[in-house]
Amino acid sequence: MNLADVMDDLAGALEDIEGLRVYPAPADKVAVPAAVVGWPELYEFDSTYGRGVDHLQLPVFILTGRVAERAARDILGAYCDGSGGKSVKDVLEAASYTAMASVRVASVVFDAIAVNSIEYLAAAFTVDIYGSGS
Amino acid sequence: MATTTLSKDAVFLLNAVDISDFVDTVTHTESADSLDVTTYGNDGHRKRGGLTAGTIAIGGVYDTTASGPHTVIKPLKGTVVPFDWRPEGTGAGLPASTGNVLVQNYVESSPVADIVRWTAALEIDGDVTDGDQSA
Repeated sequence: MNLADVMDDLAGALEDIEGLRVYPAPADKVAVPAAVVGWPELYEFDSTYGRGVDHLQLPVFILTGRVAERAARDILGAYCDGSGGKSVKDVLEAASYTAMASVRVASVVFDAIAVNSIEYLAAAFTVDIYGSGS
Repeated sequence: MATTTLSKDAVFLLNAVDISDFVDTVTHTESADSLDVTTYGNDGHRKRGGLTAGTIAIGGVYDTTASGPHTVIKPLKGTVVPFDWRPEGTGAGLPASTGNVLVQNYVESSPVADIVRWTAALEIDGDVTDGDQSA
């Protein structure tokens, strides 16, 4: 797999979510609501012999509002739904990809994340990816 | 000092098809029958080797393409086909074990939170030839 292509492919799929500004890599500034494809937290080579399959896990962050804004909770919730037009899980798993073979949104955790010293309410999705080792 | 070898370079061919890209484990076992030839006058059992036998257990990652294990291995069950096991990879002078195996079973497993995996049990038919690969 080519990491840049993987991150671009995920960003391309997230573009289908209406109203979401998508960043294919961590950015210095964001305009919310935003989707940011993060760096891999796990990148394992050699899942099979002969460089057949590699495995990586990376985060996709959905950022919205400031932590103090109550409305941010309702906005963020839609992206965490199990299905629907704004569901990150639904959109990423339904998309067709060229850079990787399989994509699964495994889990999501919630936190406050600072970007350029501004705190946002964030949902961090863990995306499990398998693809060619070459 | 012992010289270790990483498994990532191993190569496995089944029915002359290189399935290494979908394999993440190979367990190759060879054995011989143990025959008791104890006679009077011995204080301990006397043994000799009998017929040889062997099994090869393989498994790995399921693939949806036409060259994947579902397409290549599943149709072979119940048939005897050639195998070629190269534990150190492909290259002149590297070891290889070749022979024929009965594809005794093929199993696919699909845990909900993981990728689809497969395993196959192969029984060695006849002799295994061990040697070094040629150039």
